[in-house]
Amino acid sequence: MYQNLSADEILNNLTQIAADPYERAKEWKMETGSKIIGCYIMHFPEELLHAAGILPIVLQVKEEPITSGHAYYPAYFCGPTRSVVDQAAKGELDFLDAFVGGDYCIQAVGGSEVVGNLLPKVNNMFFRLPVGNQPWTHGDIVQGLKELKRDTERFTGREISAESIRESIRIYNKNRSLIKELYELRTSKPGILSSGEMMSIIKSSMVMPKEEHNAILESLLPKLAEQKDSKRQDAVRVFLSGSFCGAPKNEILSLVEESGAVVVGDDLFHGFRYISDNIGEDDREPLEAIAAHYIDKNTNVPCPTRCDPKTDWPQYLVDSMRKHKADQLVIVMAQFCEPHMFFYPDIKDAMQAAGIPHLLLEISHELDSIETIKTRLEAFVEMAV
Amino acid sequence: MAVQEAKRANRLKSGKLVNKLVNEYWEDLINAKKTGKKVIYTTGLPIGPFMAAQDLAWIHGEGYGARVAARHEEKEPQTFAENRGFNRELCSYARTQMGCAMFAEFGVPDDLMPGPIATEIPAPDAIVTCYPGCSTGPQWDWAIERVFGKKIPWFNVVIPYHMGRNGSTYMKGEEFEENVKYVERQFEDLIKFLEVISGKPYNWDKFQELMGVTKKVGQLRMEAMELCKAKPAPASFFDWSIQIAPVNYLTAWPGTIEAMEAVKAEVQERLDNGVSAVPTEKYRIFWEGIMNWNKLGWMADKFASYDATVVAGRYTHMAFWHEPDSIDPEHPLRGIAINHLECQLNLGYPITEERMMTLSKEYSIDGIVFHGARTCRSFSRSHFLLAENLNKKMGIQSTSFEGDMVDDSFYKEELVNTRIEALIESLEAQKSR
Repeated sequence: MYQNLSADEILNNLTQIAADPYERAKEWKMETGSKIIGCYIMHFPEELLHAAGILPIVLQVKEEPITSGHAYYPAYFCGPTRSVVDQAAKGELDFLDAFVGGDYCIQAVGGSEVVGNLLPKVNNMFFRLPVGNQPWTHGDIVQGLKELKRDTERFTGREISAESIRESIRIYNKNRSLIKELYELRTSKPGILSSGEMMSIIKSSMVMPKEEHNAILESLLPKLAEQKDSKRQDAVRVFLSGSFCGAPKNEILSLVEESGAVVVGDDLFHGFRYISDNIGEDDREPLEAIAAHYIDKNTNVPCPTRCDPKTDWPQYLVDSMRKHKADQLVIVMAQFCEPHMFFYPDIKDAMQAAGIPHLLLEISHELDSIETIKTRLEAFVEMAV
Repeated sequence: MAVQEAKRANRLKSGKLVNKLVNEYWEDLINAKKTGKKVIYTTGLPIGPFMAAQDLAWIHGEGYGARVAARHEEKEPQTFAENRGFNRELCSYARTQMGCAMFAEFGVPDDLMPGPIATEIPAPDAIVTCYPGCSTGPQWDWAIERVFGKKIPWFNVVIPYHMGRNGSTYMKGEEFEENVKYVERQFEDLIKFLEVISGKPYNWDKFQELMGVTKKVGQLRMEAMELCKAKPAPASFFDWSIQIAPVNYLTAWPGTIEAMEAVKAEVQERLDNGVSAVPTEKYRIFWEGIMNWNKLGWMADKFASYDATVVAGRYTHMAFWHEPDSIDPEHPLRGIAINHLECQLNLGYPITEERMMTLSKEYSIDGIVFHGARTCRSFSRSHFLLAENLNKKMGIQSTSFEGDMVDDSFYKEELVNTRIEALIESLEAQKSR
């Protein structure tokens, strides 16, 4: 059906799916009678869950103000975890059959404990992903994957075969590859996709069947490739960094572009971080391949929750800026995000040493200072004009 | 009206013995490099014996932060850290210790005049992390590793979060056993790491001896605390917070057995003579949350003024070698793993709730104070659930206020007063019904 639509129409559809992120999953559940598992945000082996015949979706931050959730989680916790708790408190996650939490961040651990309490009928699983990069880390991650596989099998009542995991890996790899093609296309023609559209493409990928998303992207790619770049060649080239869990608010992304900049690259979770690396499709046991993927992708796009001193996120950002010929770095930091707060001084030092201007935007969930953000962004971008 | 005249908490006198050990420890540490000892930075659980057995000095990051705050020297290191870009919403222990570490690495800036304790921290030769139920710890140590130019060897013991799924609850269940073995294996690797750092084979005899001391001190403390189930309680949560060093960074330090024996003897003597921690105990309170080190005396006196004894707390009663009987000094790794896996921060919500209910019954708790330490989100993550469920299941009333471990800028004193007063009034009303 997407073949007959224009690129703009396809993008509008994906934007709508992203804006109301659980609706497509609910439809799928009605259509198939199958189960949905919500993954807390960040590091989860969606491929393994998909291989069980269930639909894994990444739980999303909603932009609406937190209300019912205030009774369950303190206001000094990050917006992404508070938003998910709020959704559970309002009954918006009742469509889930299961959810899986993780130990990469204590705020996510606490959030999943609260959600477990609010959704007692929903199967509550946990993915243990040991941090670091020691000779034994790969084996430890495999063990965590085996535990999640065991729990998923108990939940569905059927075994997950190695071949089904391999097939899921192929489907997910294809999705990542297609989005990477979009990134490459945008590198040469930054104006063909706004940062908001790119985010919607990735966000929609997180909340709908990957097979369907792949088909949409296969229609979209050639149509976008034919388009001309609408951006002025002298626009200020900005690299976006941060926002590990929640997608940056559309308003912020729009402000960056309205300030006269074009986004040429990012390491956002709802961005390149999510699709940076494929999982090996060689002869290894699939869980071994997934575990290797966690270590490899962290080498390629370092994550501050992974505690791997062999990686260097500030240097990665300097290198990425140069690779994308970016003029400026805009850092989007979710308020109360500890992993990010621990790293900011090192990023600041690295940028100063490399002579790269940067702007730190600390964003509260309630977004109570949009005018201030607008003024700061405009002044920052103007510096490079 | 619940407000009473100002009264002072009747603190344990034997705490002075612990102070002496604490001073000896810090004196030894400050001079460690002069005596040829290597210095290991640690955070999280009390793992001092691993280093002590190998004649290495160790600095416990939280212990250092608490000491600096207890001496009211925390402002300058915190300011230094913030000036470098560390957000004030970050763990205040981390901000304080990192500020001190940056004094050591970069020197003291001209516009700051830090106190003597804040500037005496030696630079590390290695870092060992052993953090339960908190992602902040390893991220903090990684930041320290970067402060010192990414050249300090770092070993991170991963303590798996004890969610308590699949029927695995306390000290039983297949999953718990798997996790104990997992942690034991990491301790074996830690020992190899320490052999490399120290340049000599591991001294297992010394380690076993130290774990024998640890077990004894842990037993004495738990026995002494259990004496406080009596009404009125002879000692309070604030006493146990003051006495935490012998089971925390001072674990197995020479003299800890004698100090804890003296503490237990004083508690027993008080019990025998009807002497209580609060002159006129009317209410028994549970402190839920981490301790606020620069408010400790103030808090102890405040509750005493309301005739309320804070008799127990998750911080003191559900960690720090609280399972001493699981330690076999001849084969110590398993017992260490069990104590650390079972530490209060590492427990999933259902287990935390179950154990708090047990403690509330055992200590005849009337009300709970939730201290929402703003920058310790690990501790405060389950406060709202606990408040609701303990009220629903046991009828225990509670109050809460925001605060912090070592950053008193998060306190609004009048709000704290009002909240405590409101709790006491509701307890009074409940008792008079």
